[in-house]
Amino acid sequence: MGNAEHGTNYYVKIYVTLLAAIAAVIIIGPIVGHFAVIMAAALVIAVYKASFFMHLNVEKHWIWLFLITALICLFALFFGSAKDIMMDEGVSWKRCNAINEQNRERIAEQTHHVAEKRPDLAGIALPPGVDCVKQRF
Amino acid sequence: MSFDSSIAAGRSTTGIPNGRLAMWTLLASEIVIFGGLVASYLLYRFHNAYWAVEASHTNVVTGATNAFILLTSSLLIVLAQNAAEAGDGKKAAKLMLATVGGGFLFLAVKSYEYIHEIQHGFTIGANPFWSFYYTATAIHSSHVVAGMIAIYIVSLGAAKGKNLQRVELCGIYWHFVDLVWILLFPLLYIVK
Repeated sequence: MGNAEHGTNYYVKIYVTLLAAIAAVIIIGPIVGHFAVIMAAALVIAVYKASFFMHLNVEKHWIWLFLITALICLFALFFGSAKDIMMDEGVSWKRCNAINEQNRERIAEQTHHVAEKRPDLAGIALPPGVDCVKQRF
Repeated sequence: MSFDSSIAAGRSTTGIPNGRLAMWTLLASEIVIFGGLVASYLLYRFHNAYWAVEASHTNVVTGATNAFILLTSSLLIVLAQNAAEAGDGKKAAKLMLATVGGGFLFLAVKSYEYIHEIQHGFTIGANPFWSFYYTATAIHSSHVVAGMIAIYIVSLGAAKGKNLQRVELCGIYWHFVDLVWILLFPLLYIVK
């Protein structure tokens, strides 16, 4: 696929660029610490590699249709299942462990808040609230 | 089963050689496999803050070493493609065998890492983060093994100057395997 017109130096230059970019992600990534920024940088490196090592930059355009179709399927999977995974309660289901944990955290926070405002009431625990119980819908 | 001849090898009804078209089709399906893994990771990662703490136990040095090894082997296979296009099958075969060597190195480093993690109690059943970690890296490693086998078989033909067009197909696949590691590496090792 048009490889032969490029010499060894051409590919070595791309290799060095990729190596430097990955090194930058390794060194700067933990300093930046932002999830989206690090993953965006990795994605840019991946696209650069696909363009020049896999020759996508000179490939027939409709090959992109294959790849874009796969990405559409992927997004459908992501957004189709995101709600079920990210939420604790749906139309016919609830995730009791997560709900109960959140309840416990909320009560602990309220108890701490009361103890700060009214030291005389410190040690008196608030009622635990109603635990979520798994149900068969 | 013979690897020496294929009926469709010389055909190109779409303007793209059929072999290459098949490889891109395969990779499109691989995008869904690995993309699905990454998507699930992101969903659970956003929902479970403690995954960041678990991720801090992965070894960045071994992950980076593997990134370096796979990238170097990618360079070797693209140079093999270059040699194959220039008609130098023997040089292509040597570079392909060096690529297979890179695959062995990758697996050796990964095995060392697995042993180290398991010894410290980070097993596949430790918690969902480690389940994901082992599933994703093992699926990736199985692709590395598949690539090594394919490259070795094609290199046997290339050494005799046969079916040199297959070198490019191996190259596209191997670059994809490296590309997946470029995405898995920051996801599992760098982002805390």
